Amino acid sequence: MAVARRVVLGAAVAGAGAVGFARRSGFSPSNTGAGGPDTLTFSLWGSDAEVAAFRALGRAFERRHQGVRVQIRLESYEQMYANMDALLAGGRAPDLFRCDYANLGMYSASGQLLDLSPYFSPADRAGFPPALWEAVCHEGRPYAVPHHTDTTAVLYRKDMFREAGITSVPSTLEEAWTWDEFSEICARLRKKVHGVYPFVYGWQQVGAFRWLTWLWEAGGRILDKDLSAPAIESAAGLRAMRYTQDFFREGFVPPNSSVKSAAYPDSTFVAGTVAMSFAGDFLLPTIDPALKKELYGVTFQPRGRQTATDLGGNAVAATRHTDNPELAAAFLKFLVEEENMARFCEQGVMLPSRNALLNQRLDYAVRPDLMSTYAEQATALTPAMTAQVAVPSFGRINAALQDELEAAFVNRQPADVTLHHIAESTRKALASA
Amino acid sequence: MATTASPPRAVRPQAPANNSPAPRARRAARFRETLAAYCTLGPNLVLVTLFLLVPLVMAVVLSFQYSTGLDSASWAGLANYRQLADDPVFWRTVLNTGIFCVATVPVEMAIGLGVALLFNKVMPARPLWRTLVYLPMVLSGVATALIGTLMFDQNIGLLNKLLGTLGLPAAPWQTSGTAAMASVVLITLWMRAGFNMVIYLAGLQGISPEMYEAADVEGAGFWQRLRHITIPLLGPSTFFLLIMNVIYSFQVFDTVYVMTLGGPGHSTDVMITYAYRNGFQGRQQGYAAAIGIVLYVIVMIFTALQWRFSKNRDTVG
Repeated sequence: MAVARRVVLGAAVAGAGAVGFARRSGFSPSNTGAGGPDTLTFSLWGSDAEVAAFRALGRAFERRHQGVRVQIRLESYEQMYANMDALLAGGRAPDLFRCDYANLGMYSASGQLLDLSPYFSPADRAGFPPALWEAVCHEGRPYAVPHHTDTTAVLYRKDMFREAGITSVPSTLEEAWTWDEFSEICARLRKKVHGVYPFVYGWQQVGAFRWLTWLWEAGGRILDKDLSAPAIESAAGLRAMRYTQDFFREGFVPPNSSVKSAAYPDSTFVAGTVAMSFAGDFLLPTIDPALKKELYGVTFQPRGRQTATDLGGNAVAATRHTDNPELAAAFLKFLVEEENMARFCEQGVMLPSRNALLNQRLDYAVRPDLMSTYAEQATALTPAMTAQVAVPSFGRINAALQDELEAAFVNRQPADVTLHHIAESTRKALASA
Repeated sequence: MATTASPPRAVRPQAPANNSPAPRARRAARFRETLAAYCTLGPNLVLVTLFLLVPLVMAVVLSFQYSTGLDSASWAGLANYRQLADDPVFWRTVLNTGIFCVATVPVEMAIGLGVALLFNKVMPARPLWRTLVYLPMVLSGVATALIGTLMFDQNIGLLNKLLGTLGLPAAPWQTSGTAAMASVVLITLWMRAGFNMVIYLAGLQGISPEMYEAADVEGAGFWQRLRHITIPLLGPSTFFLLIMNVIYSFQVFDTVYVMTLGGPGHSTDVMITYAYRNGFQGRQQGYAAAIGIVLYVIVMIFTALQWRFSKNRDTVG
């Protein structure tokens, strides 16, 4: 028996060594995730409406390119990046995949994506807002196409506002409530509307980065201008942290809506637990069937020293090992053609990412009357904000934000200590990239 | 579970002094036996080596490296383990894992035994009751945890609505560390009681009825029969369940991840959720592997101690 044990353990060590050697020596398989020379495999997650829109686009591409097949592979959002990491490391990645802007930097910096420079001329690039094009580039080279954006605005319950005696809401970005005005609105709702919290914010789980909107509104930054060091330990950082901690101290938000909670803005808003919800436009297809149209409206996020918003939305990238780089690039160009992008955004209730479509009225499938506010809110995003969330190590920074914001909101960790911890984690994340 | 004592090992025959035909035949027979054993064991050994031991060795190697999982890894020496030693969140997760283990293992075994004793008797619709208790075990852990989030939601959950109906204050399931841990423990008990019940039921059905008849003749009551016959004779089942439950509790992930994500703060963070966050969200795979190796060592030590000191592992039953 002892001999058998030694044999098995020996085999394990030898096997591990062989696998390690094979990986180190570059004996990884070719991209076996591809379905063949005329097939493009495309991994994505999405709501039912988004998936239907992607399938329709896939069929349209097949019609345009006879003999080509677009094979869509569905993933859950929670597992998307863990799966994609494993597939890329194992050489079995799909030809194309959907990726949010915050995770894109890590993939492009680690050399996993197809450099799209040869396929997109300067004229092509000029069709996108600079802040978005910046978000898909690494060291000046594009590695994905900005497919759409989404952003956060404030949905409010008209009946609860009436009950609190609030008769009007800001109708332009310039008129958005100041932080002080927003606090007064919350205090009034708290006092006048019984059993309801004033609002819920969408910073749950991987959405922790949305807290940066408050930091930017306060005039702060998480990274310095070179994007090489943390810059959060500042007067603006302290202002933003203390202001947002007060939401929990004052009972402005449900106590269980902190960063590690699963109390998302759509479910809490639909349940009638809150009077306002800082919700992305992509949540409208979920909210709409559950709440009567006349019950809720939308307004802008409050403004501090400046207006700001978060960079939501997704890009689509081709993987470096694709067997069909020409075809993959053609599909990416097809996805961002004006007509195709417009159709996708209308069905999925997203904001387009092409300049030509930004000022066009799209025929959204759900609550088109609210979308102009979302579109105007999105203009608060600047290239400087985009650049801070598009660094390769942002995934690790976002994980640190989750832990530290939770400690600040739930455990009442002092604001300066929280900022220091975030800065330290950011420094380590930047050093490891 | 087996209820008989293990047979004694066969005494090895003396080596023969000469090469007579009889020993040669015995050697051939033994060779055939060994060959048959390896043929039977072979597929399992290959699977264990490929999917258990090779990844284990690779995880040990990874724990000494810096790696995002995508670009090439670099040698870190003991840096990941030093970082672990200095990481207060890691020690908090070790403590939480221990608390979770202590809060779940004895209780789920007691519930399992109690329900098994109940369902071992003749009663109406017995298979239905047994199925209902076992059902949560068949469901995926994520699905069960999702049901848990609906039941324990602080604002719109079923439990707090029930408490409100009874005029009681709402419990802070997501804002108090103790209540959050209690919610995860309660869902785990619901999930695991069925498994414990099935193992104990099998053990109970292996106990000879004559033992109880003899005890009845001697005038033993329910508690005396339980204490002096049932519990001692369920020794192997208890040993098996203890090991399995402890390993499960140390490896808990899906319930915590879905219900609380380790929060509020780090109140319900356990070692695996912390390793997952570091490995896949923070993309520090070397550090996550180091957490995994520490967990592996803890579970191995616990199992070895149980194995060494358990008196009734396979001697009675």
